Amino acid sequence: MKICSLLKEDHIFLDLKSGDKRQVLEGFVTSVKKRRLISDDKSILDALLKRESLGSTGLEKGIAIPHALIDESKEPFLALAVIKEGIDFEAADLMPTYVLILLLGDKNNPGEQLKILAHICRLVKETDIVEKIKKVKNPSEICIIFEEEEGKIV
Amino acid sequence: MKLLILFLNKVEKLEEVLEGFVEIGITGATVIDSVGMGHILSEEVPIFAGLRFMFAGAKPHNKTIFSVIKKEKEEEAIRLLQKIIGDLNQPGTGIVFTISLDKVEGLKPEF
Repeated sequence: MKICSLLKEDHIFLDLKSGDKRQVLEGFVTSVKKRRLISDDKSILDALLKRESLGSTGLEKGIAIPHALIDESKEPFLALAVIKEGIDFEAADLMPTYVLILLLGDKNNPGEQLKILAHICRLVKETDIVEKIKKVKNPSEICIIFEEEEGKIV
Repeated sequence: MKLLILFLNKVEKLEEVLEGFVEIGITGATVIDSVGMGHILSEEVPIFAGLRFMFAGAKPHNKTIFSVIKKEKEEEAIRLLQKIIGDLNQPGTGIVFTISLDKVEGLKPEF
Protein backbone atom coordinates (compact mmCIF):
# COMPACT_ATOMS: atom_id res chain seq x y z
CA MET A 1 0.00 0.00 0.00
CA LYS A 2 1.42 3.36 -1.08
CA ILE A 3 -0.64 6.41 -0.20
CA CYS A 4 1.17 8.50 -2.81
CA SER A 5 -0.30 6.45 -5.63
CA LEU A 6 -3.69 7.92 -4.67
CA LEU A 7 -2.76 11.27 -3.14
CA LYS A 8 -1.85 13.57 -6.02
CA GLU A 9 -0.50 17.08 -5.47
CA ASP A 10 -3.76 18.72 -6.50
CA HIS A 11 -5.53 16.64 -3.83
CA ILE A 12 -3.66 18.53 -1.11
CA PHE A 13 -5.01 21.63 0.66
CA LEU A 14 -2.53 23.24 3.03
CA ASP A 15 -4.69 26.11 4.29
CA LEU A 16 -8.14 24.80 5.02
CA LYS A 17 -10.24 27.22 7.07
CA SER A 18 -10.95 26.37 10.69
CA GLY A 19 -14.46 26.16 12.15
CA ASP A 20 -16.60 23.53 13.77
CA LYS A 21 -16.51 19.95 12.54
CA ARG A 22 -19.37 20.37 10.06
CA GLN A 23 -18.01 23.66 8.68
CA VAL A 24 -14.57 22.17 8.18
CA LEU A 25 -15.90 19.07 6.41
CA GLU A 26 -18.12 21.27 4.24
CA GLY A 27 -15.17 23.54 3.43
CA PHE A 28 -12.98 20.57 2.59
CA VAL A 29 -15.52 18.93 0.28
CA THR A 30 -16.27 22.27 -1.40
CA SER A 31 -12.56 22.88 -1.98
CA VAL A 32 -12.20 19.42 -3.52
CA LYS A 33 -15.16 20.08 -5.80
CA LYS A 34 -13.75 23.46 -6.88
CA ARG A 35 -10.75 21.60 -8.24
CA ARG A 36 -13.18 19.32 -10.10
CA LEU A 37 -11.93 16.25 -8.32
CA ILE A 38 -15.47 15.22 -7.33
CA SER A 39 -18.83 16.06 -8.85
CA ASP A 40 -21.45 15.66 -6.11
CA ASP A 41 -20.24 17.48 -3.00
CA LYS A 42 -23.65 17.47 -1.26
CA SER A 43 -24.12 13.69 -1.19
CA ILE A 44 -20.49 13.22 -0.16
CA LEU A 45 -20.83 15.68 2.71
CA ASP A 46 -24.03 13.91 3.82
CA ALA A 47 -22.25 10.54 3.72
CA LEU A 48 -19.30 11.92 5.73
CA LEU A 49 -21.59 13.44 8.36
CA LYS A 50 -23.58 10.21 8.56
CA ARG A 51 -20.34 8.33 9.20
CA GLU A 52 -19.29 10.88 11.85
CA SER A 53 -22.62 10.32 13.60
CA LEU A 54 -21.47 6.74 14.36
CA GLY A 55 -18.41 8.10 16.18
CA SER A 56 -15.65 10.53 15.33
CA THR A 57 -13.06 9.54 12.74
CA GLY A 58 -10.56 11.64 14.69
CA LEU A 59 -7.57 9.56 15.75
CA GLU A 60 -4.91 10.54 18.23
CA LYS A 61 -1.90 12.75 17.36
CA GLY A 62 -3.97 15.42 15.57
CA ILE A 63 -5.28 13.58 12.53
CA ALA A 64 -8.74 12.52 11.38
CA ILE A 65 -9.80 10.34 8.47
CA PRO A 66 -13.32 11.34 7.47
CA HIS A 67 -14.48 8.64 5.07
CA ALA A 68 -17.46 7.30 3.21
CA LEU A 69 -18.42 4.72 0.63
CA ILE A 70 -19.96 6.32 -2.44
CA ASP A 71 -21.29 5.30 -5.85
CA GLU A 72 -19.14 7.48 -8.05
CA SER A 73 -15.71 6.36 -6.82
CA LYS A 74 -14.33 3.65 -9.11
CA GLU A 75 -11.05 3.62 -7.20
CA PRO A 76 -10.33 4.98 -3.72
CA PHE A 77 -10.10 8.77 -3.62
CA LEU A 78 -7.83 10.52 -1.14
CA ALA A 79 -7.39 14.19 -0.33
CA LEU A 80 -5.43 15.79 2.48
CA ALA A 81 -6.00 19.08 4.25
CA VAL A 82 -4.07 20.92 6.93
CA ILE A 83 -5.86 23.26 9.35
CA LYS A 84 -3.14 25.40 10.90
CA GLU A 85 -5.23 26.53 13.89
CA GLY A 86 -6.47 23.03 14.63
CA ILE A 87 -10.09 22.12 15.27
CA ASP A 88 -12.12 20.12 17.74
CA PHE A 89 -12.87 16.97 15.74
CA GLU A 90 -13.92 15.01 18.83
CA ALA A 91 -10.70 13.04 18.49
CA ALA A 92 -9.99 9.90 20.49
CA ASP A 93 -7.38 11.70 22.63
CA LEU A 94 -9.55 14.87 22.92
CA MET A 95 -6.70 16.91 21.40
CA PRO A 96 -7.09 19.33 18.45
CA THR A 97 -6.99 17.93 14.92
CA TYR A 98 -4.66 19.55 12.38
CA VAL A 99 -4.64 17.10 9.49
CA LEU A 100 -7.63 15.63 7.68
CA ILE A 101 -7.40 12.81 5.19
CA LEU A 102 -10.57 12.49 3.16
CA LEU A 103 -11.13 8.93 1.95
CA LEU A 104 -13.89 8.07 -0.48
CA GLY A 105 -14.26 4.46 -1.49
CA ASP A 106 -16.33 2.44 -3.88
CA LYS A 107 -19.56 1.11 -2.33
CA ASN A 108 -18.96 -2.15 -4.16
CA ASN A 109 -15.44 -2.58 -2.79
CA PRO A 110 -15.52 -1.75 0.94
CA GLY A 111 -12.52 -4.01 1.57
CA GLU A 112 -10.25 -1.55 -0.20
CA GLN A 113 -11.37 1.23 2.13
CA LEU A 114 -10.79 -1.00 5.14
CA LYS A 115 -7.21 -1.68 3.99
CA ILE A 116 -6.44 2.01 3.48
CA LEU A 117 -7.91 2.95 6.87
CA ALA A 118 -5.87 0.25 8.59
CA HIS A 119 -2.72 1.39 6.77
CA ILE A 120 -3.13 5.05 7.76
CA CYS A 121 -3.98 4.12 11.36
CA ARG A 122 -0.77 2.11 11.67
CA LEU A 123 1.24 4.84 10.00
CA VAL A 124 -0.09 7.40 12.48
CA LYS A 125 0.53 5.17 15.50
CA GLU A 126 4.03 4.08 14.58
CA THR A 127 5.54 7.27 13.13
CA ASP A 128 5.62 11.05 13.59
CA ILE A 129 3.99 11.64 10.21
CA VAL A 130 1.37 14.07 11.52
CA GLU A 131 3.96 16.39 13.05
CA LYS A 132 5.86 16.37 9.77
CA ILE A 133 2.75 17.06 7.68
CA LYS A 134 1.84 20.00 9.94
CA LYS A 135 5.14 21.72 9.03
CA VAL A 136 4.81 21.29 5.26
CA LYS A 137 4.93 24.45 3.14
CA ASN A 138 4.50 22.94 -0.30
CA PRO A 139 2.16 20.10 -1.44
CA SER A 140 5.06 18.39 -3.19
CA GLU A 141 6.60 17.64 0.24
CA ILE A 142 3.65 15.50 1.33
CA CYS A 143 4.43 12.59 -0.94
CA ILE A 144 8.06 12.52 0.17
CA ILE A 145 6.96 12.38 3.82
CA PHE A 146 4.53 9.54 3.16
CA GLU A 147 7.16 7.54 1.31
CA GLU A 148 9.73 8.06 4.07
CA GLU A 149 7.35 7.17 6.88
CA GLU A 150 5.82 4.21 5.04
CA GLY A 151 9.34 2.87 4.66
CA LYS A 152 9.61 2.74 8.46
CA ILE A 153 6.61 0.49 9.03
CA VAL A 154 7.14 -2.18 6.37
CA MET B 1 1.00 -36.91 17.03
CA LYS B 2 -0.93 -33.88 15.88
CA LEU B 3 -2.06 -30.67 17.50
CA LEU B 4 -5.63 -29.95 16.49
CA ILE B 5 -6.64 -26.30 16.80
CA LEU B 6 -10.25 -25.28 16.46
CA PHE B 7 -11.57 -21.72 16.51
CA LEU B 8 -15.20 -22.35 17.30
CA ASN B 9 -17.52 -19.50 16.46
CA LYS B 10 -20.64 -21.59 17.01
CA VAL B 11 -19.97 -21.61 20.74
CA GLU B 12 -23.30 -23.31 21.39
CA LYS B 13 -21.72 -26.42 19.84
CA LEU B 14 -18.89 -26.58 22.40
CA GLU B 15 -20.37 -29.31 24.58
CA GLU B 16 -21.22 -31.44 21.54
CA VAL B 17 -17.68 -31.01 20.24
CA LEU B 18 -16.11 -32.10 23.52
CA GLU B 19 -18.55 -35.00 23.89
CA GLY B 20 -17.73 -36.03 20.34
CA PHE B 21 -14.01 -35.92 21.14
CA VAL B 22 -14.57 -38.28 24.08
CA GLU B 23 -16.59 -40.62 21.86
CA ILE B 24 -13.79 -41.00 19.35
CA GLY B 25 -11.15 -41.47 22.02
CA ILE B 26 -9.62 -38.01 22.28
CA THR B 27 -8.63 -37.84 25.90
CA GLY B 28 -8.16 -34.15 26.54
CA ALA B 29 -8.48 -30.65 25.19
CA THR B 30 -7.86 -27.14 26.44
CA VAL B 31 -10.59 -24.57 25.85
CA ILE B 32 -9.84 -20.84 25.87
CA ASP B 33 -12.28 -17.94 25.66
CA SER B 34 -11.28 -15.84 22.67
CA VAL B 35 -12.45 -12.96 20.51
CA GLY B 36 -12.22 -12.67 16.74
CA MET B 37 -10.49 -9.83 14.93
CA GLY B 38 -13.70 -8.74 13.19
CA HIS B 39 -15.50 -8.20 16.47
CA ILE B 40 -12.68 -6.18 18.00
CA LEU B 41 -12.18 -4.00 14.92
CA SER B 42 -15.85 -3.30 14.35
CA GLU B 43 -16.93 -2.84 17.96
CA GLU B 44 -13.89 -1.52 19.79
CA VAL B 45 -11.87 0.51 17.25
CA PRO B 46 -13.96 3.59 16.41
CA ILE B 47 -12.33 4.34 13.05
CA PHE B 48 -13.79 1.11 11.61
CA ALA B 49 -17.33 1.75 12.90
CA GLY B 50 -18.56 2.67 9.42
CA LEU B 51 -17.51 -0.71 8.05
CA ARG B 52 -19.24 -2.85 10.69
CA PHE B 53 -21.35 -4.46 7.98
CA MET B 54 -18.19 -6.11 6.62
CA PHE B 55 -17.90 -8.11 9.81
CA ALA B 56 -21.56 -9.12 9.96
CA GLY B 57 -21.77 -12.49 11.62
CA ALA B 58 -18.72 -11.85 13.79
CA LYS B 59 -19.64 -13.26 17.20
CA PRO B 60 -18.81 -11.36 20.40
CA HIS B 61 -16.84 -14.37 21.64
CA ASN B 62 -15.54 -17.64 20.34
CA LYS B 63 -13.70 -20.57 21.82
CA THR B 64 -10.23 -21.73 20.92
CA ILE B 65 -9.74 -25.45 21.48
CA PHE B 66 -6.36 -27.16 21.51
CA SER B 67 -6.08 -30.91 21.54
CA VAL B 68 -3.12 -33.21 21.09
CA ILE B 69 -4.37 -36.23 19.16
CA LYS B 70 -2.97 -39.35 17.60
CA LYS B 71 -2.20 -39.02 13.90
CA GLU B 72 -4.72 -41.75 13.06
CA LYS B 73 -7.51 -39.78 14.79
CA GLU B 74 -6.98 -36.69 12.62
CA GLU B 75 -9.40 -37.49 9.77
CA GLU B 76 -12.03 -38.84 12.16
CA ALA B 77 -11.81 -35.71 14.29
CA ILE B 78 -12.21 -33.40 11.30
CA ARG B 79 -15.20 -35.42 10.03
CA LEU B 80 -16.73 -35.25 13.50
CA LEU B 81 -16.32 -31.49 13.66
CA GLN B 82 -17.88 -31.03 10.23
CA LYS B 83 -20.81 -33.16 11.33
CA ILE B 84 -21.36 -31.18 14.54
CA ILE B 85 -20.54 -27.66 13.35
CA GLY B 86 -21.56 -27.93 9.70
CA ASP B 87 -19.72 -26.62 6.66
CA LEU B 88 -16.71 -24.78 8.07
CA ASN B 89 -16.41 -22.77 4.86
CA GLN B 90 -19.57 -20.89 5.85
CA PRO B 91 -18.95 -17.60 7.71
CA GLY B 92 -19.51 -17.63 11.47
CA THR B 93 -18.85 -21.35 11.94
CA GLY B 94 -15.20 -21.92 12.74
CA ILE B 95 -11.72 -22.82 11.53
CA VAL B 96 -9.90 -26.06 12.19
CA PHE B 97 -6.38 -27.12 11.34
CA THR B 98 -3.75 -29.53 12.56
CA ILE B 99 -0.01 -29.27 13.05
CA SER B 100 2.45 -32.16 13.23
CA LEU B 101 4.21 -32.48 16.57
CA ASP B 102 7.76 -33.77 17.05
CA LYS B 103 7.62 -34.79 20.67
CA VAL B 104 4.82 -35.04 23.20
CA GLU B 105 4.92 -35.81 26.90
CA GLY B 106 2.11 -35.82 29.44
CA LEU B 107 -0.74 -37.09 27.29
CA LYS B 108 -3.47 -39.02 29.11
CA PRO B 109 -3.98 -42.62 28.04
CA GLU B 110 -7.09 -43.31 25.96
CA PHE B 111 -10.28 -43.92 27.95
